Amino acid sequence: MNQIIIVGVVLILLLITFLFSRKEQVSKAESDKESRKTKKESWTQEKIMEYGEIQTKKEALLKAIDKKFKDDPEQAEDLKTLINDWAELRIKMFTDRRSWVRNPEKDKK
Amino acid sequence: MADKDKIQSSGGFAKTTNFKWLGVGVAIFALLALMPTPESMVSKASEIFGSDLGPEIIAQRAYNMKIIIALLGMCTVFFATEAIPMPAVALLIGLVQLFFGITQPARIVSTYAHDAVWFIAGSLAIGSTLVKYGLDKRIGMLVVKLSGTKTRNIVLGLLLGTAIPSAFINEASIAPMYVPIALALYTLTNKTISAPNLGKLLMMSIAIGCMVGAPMSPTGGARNAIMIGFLEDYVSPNVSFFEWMSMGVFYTAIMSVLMAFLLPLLFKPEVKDLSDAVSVLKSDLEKHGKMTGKQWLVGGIMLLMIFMWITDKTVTAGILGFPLGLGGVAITGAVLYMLLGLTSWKDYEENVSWGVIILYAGAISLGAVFKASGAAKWLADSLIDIMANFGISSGLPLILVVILIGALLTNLMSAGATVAVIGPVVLEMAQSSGTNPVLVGVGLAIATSLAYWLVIGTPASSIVYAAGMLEAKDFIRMAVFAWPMALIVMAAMVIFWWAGVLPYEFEIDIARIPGAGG
Repeated sequence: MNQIIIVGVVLILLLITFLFSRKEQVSKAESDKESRKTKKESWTQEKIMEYGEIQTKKEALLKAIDKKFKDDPEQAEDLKTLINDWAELRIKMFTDRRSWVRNPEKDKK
Repeated sequence: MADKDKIQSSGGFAKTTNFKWLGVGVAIFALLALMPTPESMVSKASEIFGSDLGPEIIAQRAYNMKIIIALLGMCTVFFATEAIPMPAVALLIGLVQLFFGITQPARIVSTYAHDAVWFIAGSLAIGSTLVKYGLDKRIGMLVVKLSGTKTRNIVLGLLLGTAIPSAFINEASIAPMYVPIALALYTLTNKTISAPNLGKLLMMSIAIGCMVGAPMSPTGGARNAIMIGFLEDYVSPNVSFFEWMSMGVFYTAIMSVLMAFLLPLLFKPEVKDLSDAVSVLKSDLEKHGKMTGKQWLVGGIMLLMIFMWITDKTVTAGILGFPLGLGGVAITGAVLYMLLGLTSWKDYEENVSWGVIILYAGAISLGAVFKASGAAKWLADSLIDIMANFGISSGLPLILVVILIGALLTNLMSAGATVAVIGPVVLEMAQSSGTNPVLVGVGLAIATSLAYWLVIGTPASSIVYAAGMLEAKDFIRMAVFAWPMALIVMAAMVIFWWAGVLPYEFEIDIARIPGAGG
């Protein structure tokens, strides 16, 4: 009789386990989905610049520095380095967000 | 079966202990272990090990059976809740045997060793190399190229394009590769016409394709390899790669076609032709260029391995005088990639989920001790006694009941765990009732692919769900129709394909009983 009660308790515990653990895992999947969605939404609020736009902007800024900092070549060099770094970062940001479908470079070993 | 970091970080591999569920697991173990040993266990121990052993030894053997049943109960909780890291469950299986004196220290490691473990390790390594060289993406590109522009054809293309590779590479590597393709098709269409249903349809096709493809071959998932490992004790010669494929292909083919009709009915797409989106996608994919020499070589070796798996017992055995076994072929492929400089050991270290290998080695150990201790026989006979009252304890009814149980349980815990926990019991039930263990075992393994109901049912479901187009209710809506349909297809497969076309009987095949001529 005791054995039947114990087996009954174990079966009930297993049933509870199945039901509640799945619930926990589903809510974890839902929160993962939500955080992914929030991240994507934050991207849409950022100003997206494609590769061509970044290059054009970079060229324009470098030209402006050449014009305006003729008398201070050292500062001009520093500013150019900053602009080149900024351009590289923007390009990296742009390409990193693209999936493998639109970014063949991503796969090249 | 290539697994990536993202798989490592899910499915209980990256988690730390959840003390609530750990407590429940330990409580179940304690309840069963401390319960007085049932008289039926003592009689079963006497029947299995011989009454001449003496009452004390028989009582000890019956006690061992009880501990193993308690271990099974605890593992079920851990597999379902991922309460502790999954590889820790695998190691715990050995520790319980050790601490309770069930297996001697010198023999404990051997309970983890099996050709199936080599097979899983080698397949994961081969899969990781295919993914490293982007061959999975080449398959995706081929699907876009061949599917045309009609939405229905694209759905069928996605279903087959995910199903076929899923039979050889882990679905968790296939699904993330296809998601950007589906997203691109949806986004490009959605720019002109709002098409939420199209997004759902494409994403669901990826998840379903992965689920229906995995049963087609032993490489489709570690659960298939584990089942082959369990079958080793019940049939000789064991199920070969080709034999499994011939049994599983029916399910994959029929389900792919049926789902290509069902899914567009459930998620009615807003557009019937995706010409514009497909042409933009094709031009993007063309930028990837042609396949490189190394990609051809990696693909060629994979094809060679499949050929060797299929012909292991014919061609290879003819040349060498003996077969290499599934594991031997898999490890040959993995080592060949390194010998040819295509990959490094570091790549394998980083891209192969070693936790999966340990987990399934643990499952093999559980199966081995379950059988050796007599616990499997006791549980199987007890269940058969109950089922006999309903006339479902042997033959076709037993096979169908096992399929139903597998299809239900896989929605409550992972497919691999379902096979690990109930595989040894149902095979013992098959043997005790004179039912063909091959049909019961392969039937169970295929049934565990029916995890349709929840977003966390399979890694592929979770991946497409995370993409954001599907809701949890979409999976339920699909499962309401697809789950019973899949069960009907499975029943048809057993009756008309396995027993009708293929040479299987529902009864045990005497020629394949180990030691009886097989």
